[in-house]
Amino acid sequence: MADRLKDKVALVTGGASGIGRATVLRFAGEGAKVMVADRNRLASDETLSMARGISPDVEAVPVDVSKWDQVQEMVDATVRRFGRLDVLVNAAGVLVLSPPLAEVDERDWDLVMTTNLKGLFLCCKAAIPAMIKSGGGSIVNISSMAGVQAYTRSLPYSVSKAGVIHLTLAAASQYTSKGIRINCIAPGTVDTPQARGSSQSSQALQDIAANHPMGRIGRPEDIADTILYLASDESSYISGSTIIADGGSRTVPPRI
Amino acid sequence: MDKLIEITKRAVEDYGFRQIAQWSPEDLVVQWQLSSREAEVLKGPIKDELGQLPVPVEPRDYSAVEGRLADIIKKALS
Repeated sequence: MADRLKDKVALVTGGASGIGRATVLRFAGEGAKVMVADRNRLASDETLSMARGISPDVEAVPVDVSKWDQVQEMVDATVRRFGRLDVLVNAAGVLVLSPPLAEVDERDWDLVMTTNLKGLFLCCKAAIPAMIKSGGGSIVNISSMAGVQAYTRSLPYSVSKAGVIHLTLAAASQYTSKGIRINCIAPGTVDTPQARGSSQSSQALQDIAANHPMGRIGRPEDIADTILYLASDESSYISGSTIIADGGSRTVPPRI
Repeated sequence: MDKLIEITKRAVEDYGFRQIAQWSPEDLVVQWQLSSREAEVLKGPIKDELGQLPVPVEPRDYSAVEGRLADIIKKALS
């Protein structure tokens, strides 16, 4: 299937790697014009090169999503280049490991919240007026199963991702009637640089895969497919929802 | 110097923290109240070195990698 996003303009934060990169490539293959937004310029250039092998209508813009002036410029640059904005994918995020709550460094709390929650808020804030001018749109926020279940290895990350789920719901209550659908995906463990890095050893991810009901962890492309669905008109009656995309790992009974 | 060594240690062991050190170093400069010289080292040779590290750095390699980065910091700030 192709052209599921034909003539749509999409902006993907965190587009340089992992789920964001897979989304950029998927969107480019479905006829979208895509802006890759990321603070990692080296990886952005790699993504851009890969995506241009699929479609010429892909550009990149550097952005730190926690900085309002950069976020506003990111949206402005997208509209200047492609004329409109129809889809925003908020995939930028960071997982900083932390000890239990009483020992969490306030600086780490701020670092995680600033990127994962404030950054996502700022991106929505800048994108929504542009989407309204375009006649509506779709926002897809990337949360995590860490936002649904307790995640002991980083309380700030877990709380920030729970915040993303609720921001999705609250924002959808305000903008669905204006033609902007806002949804969220909560992926389980996905084979991304972030997951590999946070696992702190190659063996740890292999162990997770071995114990997964599907016998593997998620691929970025698995999540990109779900993002594509929410970005496209195929999900036109869905707003304010969170889709769990964990390959069924939540169905495994706890070991008591 | 000690603060910068602590930052690099965490950047070796925690990939999320490493990404911040590489791509939003100003946030760490402010949070950790680094001197202007320490900030230069973080945004210069340390950033370059962090970009060369594997993902993840295996625990058995922490000591060697962190020692090498500490030597770079000591040399740059001496």
